[in-house]
Amino acid sequence: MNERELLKGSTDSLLLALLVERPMYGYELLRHMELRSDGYFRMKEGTLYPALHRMERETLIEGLYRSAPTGQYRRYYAITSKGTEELARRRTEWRNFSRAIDLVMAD
Amino acid sequence: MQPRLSTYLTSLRGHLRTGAATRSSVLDELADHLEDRTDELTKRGFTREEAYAEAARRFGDPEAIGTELTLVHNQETWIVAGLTAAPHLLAAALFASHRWLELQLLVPALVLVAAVSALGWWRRLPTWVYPWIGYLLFPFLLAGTVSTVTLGYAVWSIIAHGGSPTDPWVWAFSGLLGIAGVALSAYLLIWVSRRDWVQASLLVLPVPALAVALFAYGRGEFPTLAQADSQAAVLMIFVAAVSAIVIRLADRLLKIALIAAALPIGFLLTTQSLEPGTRLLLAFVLSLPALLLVITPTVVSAASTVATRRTSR
Repeated sequence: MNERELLKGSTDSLLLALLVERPMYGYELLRHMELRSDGYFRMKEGTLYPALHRMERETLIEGLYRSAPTGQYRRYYAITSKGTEELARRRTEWRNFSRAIDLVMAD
Repeated sequence: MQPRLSTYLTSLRGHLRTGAATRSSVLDELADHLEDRTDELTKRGFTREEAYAEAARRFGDPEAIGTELTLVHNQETWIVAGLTAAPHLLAAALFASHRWLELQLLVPALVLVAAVSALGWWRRLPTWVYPWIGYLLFPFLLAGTVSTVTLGYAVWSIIAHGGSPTDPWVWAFSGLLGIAGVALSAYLLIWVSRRDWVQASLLVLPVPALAVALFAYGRGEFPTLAQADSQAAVLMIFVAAVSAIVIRLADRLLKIALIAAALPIGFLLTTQSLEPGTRLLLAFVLSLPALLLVITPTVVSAASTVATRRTSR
């Protein structure tokens, strides 16, 4: 599996983990993700927006227009209580998975 | 907006086959993103032209994004489909009970419809709430119809006998109810059409069905009232099924085709036991929503082209 495929399966988890810190708009999310992963994750807009809109419909996050520090209005996304619960579930899942992988693959 | 971005967004817009409100909101968001990216690249030393080209390139294929976003926005969950179909099933149950004219059944049903509508209002008007609000308007429309008949009768009495059979206050009250009903319905329909005209068509769908049922009662076309009730119940189940399927379909063209086909099929379902003359009259009643269905997209898409992107905020 290459990095792109790995990212595809984890998009929702990564977005939820970023949004639990504070509400962000799309462009801010991409930059933040790149920064936080030391440039490892370069998510494309074509992946980001369909994912955000799908998650909004699943009420994991909610979108609202708000004034950005630049003064312009941007569509911010905030995590909902359902999203917070989902994130907690995914974190546990990920911890178990990565520990098992580590146990098998570590040299 | 810069020309390069504009070209990209125009192309994306062509692949975004959703309701007008969704389309304009999605395009606004993507335009903001493209602008932010262009500004950033310009600060890093790109020329404006290079920055536009690069920002658009990073966004990827407009057809792929447009198609994917269309899928996300057009296909609702089964829960939403069920909530949309539920008020029609409630109407079907009322008809099937053969006691829908009795207040002890009608009032709780209307209270339930009002409560669900209020819940939808509180949850910022998701699409499933439209048919519920539509049913809330039905008593007003009924009052409007009754008032028109009352007024006509009163005018005729004055001309023929020189006096009115009823108190003028009764006319004034029923007239006001009627005007309020028509005005509220028109407002709701225009508002929903602006958000998504497929939803508006769905909202209109039970109107010919109910009109046909009421018309049949009025004319005494059915041998027994129980038979008329059963036919109306079948029709409302049909409307519920069409609504649920339209909500679940992802392809907008298929949605439109199904709504358009539902009108004549519903007509055939209702009128099996009626005489040919009545059928012709009912065909006229049904052609009105069909006409609305055909002209609304043209009017709405023309209006949304004129609207600037900032107005949707």
